Amino acid sequence: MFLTLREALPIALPVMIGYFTVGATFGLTAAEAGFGWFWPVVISLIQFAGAAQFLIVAMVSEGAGFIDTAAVVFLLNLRHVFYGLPFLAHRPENPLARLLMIFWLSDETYSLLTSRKPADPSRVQVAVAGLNYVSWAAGTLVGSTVGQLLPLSVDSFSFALWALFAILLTEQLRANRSFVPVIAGFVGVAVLVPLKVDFGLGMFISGLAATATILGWHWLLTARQRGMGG
Amino acid sequence: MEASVISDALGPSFVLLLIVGALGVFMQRGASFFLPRKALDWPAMGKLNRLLPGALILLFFLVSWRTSAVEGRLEWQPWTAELLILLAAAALHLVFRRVLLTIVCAVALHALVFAYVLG
Repeated sequence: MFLTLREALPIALPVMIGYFTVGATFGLTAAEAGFGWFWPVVISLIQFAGAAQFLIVAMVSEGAGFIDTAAVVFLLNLRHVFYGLPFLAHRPENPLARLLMIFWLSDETYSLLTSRKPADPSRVQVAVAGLNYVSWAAGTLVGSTVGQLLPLSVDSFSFALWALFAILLTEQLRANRSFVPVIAGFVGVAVLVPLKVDFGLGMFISGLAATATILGWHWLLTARQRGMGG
Repeated sequence: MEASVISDALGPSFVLLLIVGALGVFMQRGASFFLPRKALDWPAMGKLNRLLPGALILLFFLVSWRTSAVEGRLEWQPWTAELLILLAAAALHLVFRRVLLTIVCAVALHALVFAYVLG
């Protein structure tokens, strides 16, 4: 096991550093939002879902109900459906290792492991994913503890969450080079105009409307391509 | 929401939310082990995978502002200042691509603006 970890450490290190930093940012913002030092660590250990964790903190802070929060988190993580595919050929034989690999498979671990040619043995892949998980949780612990100790303005510090969402949105638009998410977002919020709903239910309803917009756009594009082809 | 109200929300039901959420993520991450290949090969899934996260993040801003406006909690001057700081943060991120640097600058700017300009 020690040899496997020694083999995995240099592979995992770049993601571990990033995870520690972002995990610390999560801990800091959650602690400053009123979650204390303990709950951010619990969220990181149980959930381990990056942006979704920030969304949970933000939605609970806005007074959203738990069912609405769970539904929005489910929609946000839809992309994970594809992550297991490249690992079908290398999935660990050991059932526990297989379960851990699924639990620890994040965006960055997926990007890191799928970029390795030839692919690492499954025991090393599991160790890389585990090291990333530990660094995320450790970063959260450090961030939430520091967040409890720093005498900073809560308002300004909780603004970090909004800044992070601005960064994530910028990255999404930059990576996809498409304005469809922006259109879908505005359609989603337009659906709420005649309704008087709270934040959580509003997110759920407008999330469904945004999903329908993206699907509609996809079908429109497919139909047009078929029309041009034949 | 006040910090005390958040602490009231944290308890066994919150742990249950986390476990349900984690199970959802687990099912999604392990979908290739559980779902038929045909469902994963559905072309629209690719589009949703690519475009939905951005739309949901944008919705977080829009729905939060809209809800605050309806409830009469949205004050225009602070809102405009925060929007401008967010746009500056996005521009800063596009230039330097350093998440922590952008967040620290945004928080510092927010503290300065709200303490000395709007305070």
